[in-house]
Amino acid sequence: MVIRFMQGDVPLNSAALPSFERRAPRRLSFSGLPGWILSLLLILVMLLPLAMLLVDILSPDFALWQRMWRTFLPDVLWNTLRLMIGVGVGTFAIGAFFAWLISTYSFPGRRWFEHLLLLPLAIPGFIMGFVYVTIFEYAGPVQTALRDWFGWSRGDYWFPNIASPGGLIIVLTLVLYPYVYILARAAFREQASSTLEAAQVMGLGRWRTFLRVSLPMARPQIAAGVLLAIMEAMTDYGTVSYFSYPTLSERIVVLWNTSFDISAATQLAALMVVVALVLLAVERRMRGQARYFQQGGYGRPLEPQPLRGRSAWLATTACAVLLATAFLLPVTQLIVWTVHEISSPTVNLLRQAMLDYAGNSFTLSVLAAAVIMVLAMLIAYATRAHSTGGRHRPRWMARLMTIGYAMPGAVIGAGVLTFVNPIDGAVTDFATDVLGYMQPAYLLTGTILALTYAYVVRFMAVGFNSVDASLEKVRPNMEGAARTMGAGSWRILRRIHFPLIRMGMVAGGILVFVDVMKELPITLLLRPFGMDTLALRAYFLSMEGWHESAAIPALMIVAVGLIPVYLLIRVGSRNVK
Amino acid sequence: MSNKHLIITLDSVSKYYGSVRAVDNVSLSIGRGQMLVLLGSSGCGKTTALRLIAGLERPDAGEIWLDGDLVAGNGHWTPPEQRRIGMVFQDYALFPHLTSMENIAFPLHSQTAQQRRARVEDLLALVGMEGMGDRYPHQLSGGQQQRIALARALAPHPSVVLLDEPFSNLDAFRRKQVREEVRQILKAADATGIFVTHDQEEAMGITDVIAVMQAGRIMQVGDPAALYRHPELPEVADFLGEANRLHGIADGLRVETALGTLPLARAAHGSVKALVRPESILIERNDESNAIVESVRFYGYYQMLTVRLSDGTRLDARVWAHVDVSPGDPVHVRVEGNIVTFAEG
Repeated sequence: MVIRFMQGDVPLNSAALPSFERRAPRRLSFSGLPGWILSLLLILVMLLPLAMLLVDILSPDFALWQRMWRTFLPDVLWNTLRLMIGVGVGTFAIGAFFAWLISTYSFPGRRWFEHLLLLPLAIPGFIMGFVYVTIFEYAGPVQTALRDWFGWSRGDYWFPNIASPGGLIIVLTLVLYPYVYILARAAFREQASSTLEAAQVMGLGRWRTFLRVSLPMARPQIAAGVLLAIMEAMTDYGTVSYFSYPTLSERIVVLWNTSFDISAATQLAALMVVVALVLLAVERRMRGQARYFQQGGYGRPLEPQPLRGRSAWLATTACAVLLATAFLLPVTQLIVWTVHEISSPTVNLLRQAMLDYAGNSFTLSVLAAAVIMVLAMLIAYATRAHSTGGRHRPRWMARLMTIGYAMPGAVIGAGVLTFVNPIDGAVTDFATDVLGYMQPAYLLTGTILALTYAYVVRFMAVGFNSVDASLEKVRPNMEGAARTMGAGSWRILRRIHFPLIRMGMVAGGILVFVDVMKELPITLLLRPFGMDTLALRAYFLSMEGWHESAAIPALMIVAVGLIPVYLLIRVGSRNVK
Repeated sequence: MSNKHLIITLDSVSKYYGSVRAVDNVSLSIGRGQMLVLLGSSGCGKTTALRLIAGLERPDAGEIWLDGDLVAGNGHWTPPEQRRIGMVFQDYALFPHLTSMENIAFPLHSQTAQQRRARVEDLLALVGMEGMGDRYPHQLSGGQQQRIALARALAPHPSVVLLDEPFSNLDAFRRKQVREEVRQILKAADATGIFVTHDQEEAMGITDVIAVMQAGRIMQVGDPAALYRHPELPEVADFLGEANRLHGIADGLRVETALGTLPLARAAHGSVKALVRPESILIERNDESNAIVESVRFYGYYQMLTVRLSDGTRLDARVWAHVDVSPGDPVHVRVEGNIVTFAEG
């Protein structure tokens, strides 16, 4: 579960570029050819693991595919498809409906709900999953209470099974609907009230105006949001594995990590690379359309119409119920468990361990954030969109960098391993043959180096988009102005560029930090032996049913996850003003 | 090429973007203390010309001289930071993270803090922004940002100030006022100014010398009245205002047209197109009518008439609001002042 809002969903970079820009002569020597070559090289290295998987699928092992098809593949494909459809429908219904409700009507609490409905973004799916299952399963508090009240016993009553595909779809819908909600809300907001008034003058009621005008106009954005949610569902590992619901993403980790069936895992990963690339292309198209559709959205913004009486309370209740189910209930439950766990006698032992996990999480997240932000700044700066010695950065460069972000963590983990293992193998051979050293050398496999590399491949887009957006605030004329006032390259860098991109660096760093903090499959596949993170700990403990122990790391992850949601809310409310 | 009185000289300067000739063999000289306007429609190369002078672009051919020094061309290159030129950008290019005061102080980095403060205070007073030094650009209106940008450009006492469409972000009402202020400020600072604009009225309001640019070339240089009355090229004539074209036969300083024999400002021979501005056409109501009013468009302080001469020629005439005419009225039309002609074609 990652937060993707820096990818351009919400315009953090509101400074649109004026059209009168001219190309300027080469400025800093770094902006020239060396910078470009370095950037291309870095991007190439980032894409290498994925490219190697693709090469792998070019020489498919038909016997292997046949074996997979006879055993698990049909089920896994069907599961994956079912999950994607279910989550797509669910997030569409909830996200679009609430976005419409909040942007069209005003009712008690609307201003609060507008932002609070984004909070579920902070909860990773697998945490939501284990909290929900624990609450609603047979031995959970809800069913126990029902049995106590009515004196039922097993078999006397029907209760929906939460640990089912349906339950999984509900859980993922609850954490993923904000994607649709954000984009749909932005789309509805941009619709000029005159368009809707025109529809009403022509005799359409509010509801029919929504169905026949608002919704079709917002279709590209909503579709993009639904697609994002679907991609998240496809790439999810933690939640599906908690629900024992094998999907492609889950299978890759299991094949690699548990069955050690490396070739099968690689072939599946390669298949997913292709699927993810297709989805990414579709999403791009929709984004483009969304931009096109927005062209008409000028004029007076939509004025929310006050709801009165029963309908007002109905709207408030609906928002309150959604907020309670998707955020308040799970977080409260985590807090209760945490308090309970902390007051238990085994706590001292645990506290030390938790500090270690938190330390590991922190180290990995900071390391990844630092490496990504430095690389992102180098690339963004060297290949600046405006003007670098007359060269404009082609759009494919930014696109190449976002590919990693669309891939499931499991695929990137597998890709990095296929890339890293042969290197270690070669080193081992060298050590054995030449140096007579008889132990296998693990220079990369299972080291922080390989792990960080995988994080960079996966999360580069987050950092890069953030830096690049802030670099757009530096209009080319500012550099020109500084130069006519006698400032040289170094002074421009220090006095103009750095102060202006500092906030973007910090924001991007925070986003990467939180993403790495929540990451499961890559960490699981590539971590150094015994190095557990908070996310892994929460995952392992919940898998074994220790929900109270799992609550502590889970709560810490949610708390950290709230930081980017807060940033998102702030950006959102600034855009309104 | 060096000349004591000329502060800027462009000698056959060209700048290409691929196959586009943004600036095409431009030669131009500006004297110390002069104000020059580069006038042209968007994309005519006027901004590129300005950026070439500032050193933000390198010419592909030709030489640029500043105050007697060769700064570009013939193997020489002086980077913009060494040219001591002030520039006001179209988007002002104020630094958003610095206050007005810090923006103005930006070019004064080699001075002591005290000198800097004194100079900034002087400049804030000069542009009428006393007490606003602590504001950030986003807290200022468009006109105020414009003045800060101007103050910043003037801070290091540049001998040349370049202004790229400096008034385009202001509304029509403020524009006149700010334009006059900027003129005064530049005069007070004893600076040479080059303005770039696409608005011919604005161009004529600013200065005494206008260079009309089109497609990267300078078409004509002159004072506003000469350019308006006696354009050398039809493109210049059209760019500066509406004009009637009358077929005529010229012979020296006379041209024979449907309106009779008219005096010419420039000698011409043979079949020509005579250029007659609408306000040069006088409409009189007397017994000898030679035209019929076809339509009247009322614009407030003036009205535009279309009249048809007896031979069918239609002419536009600009007359004051008080003239009382209606379509169908017979009128007498004559031309006042001397006119120019262009070869027919």
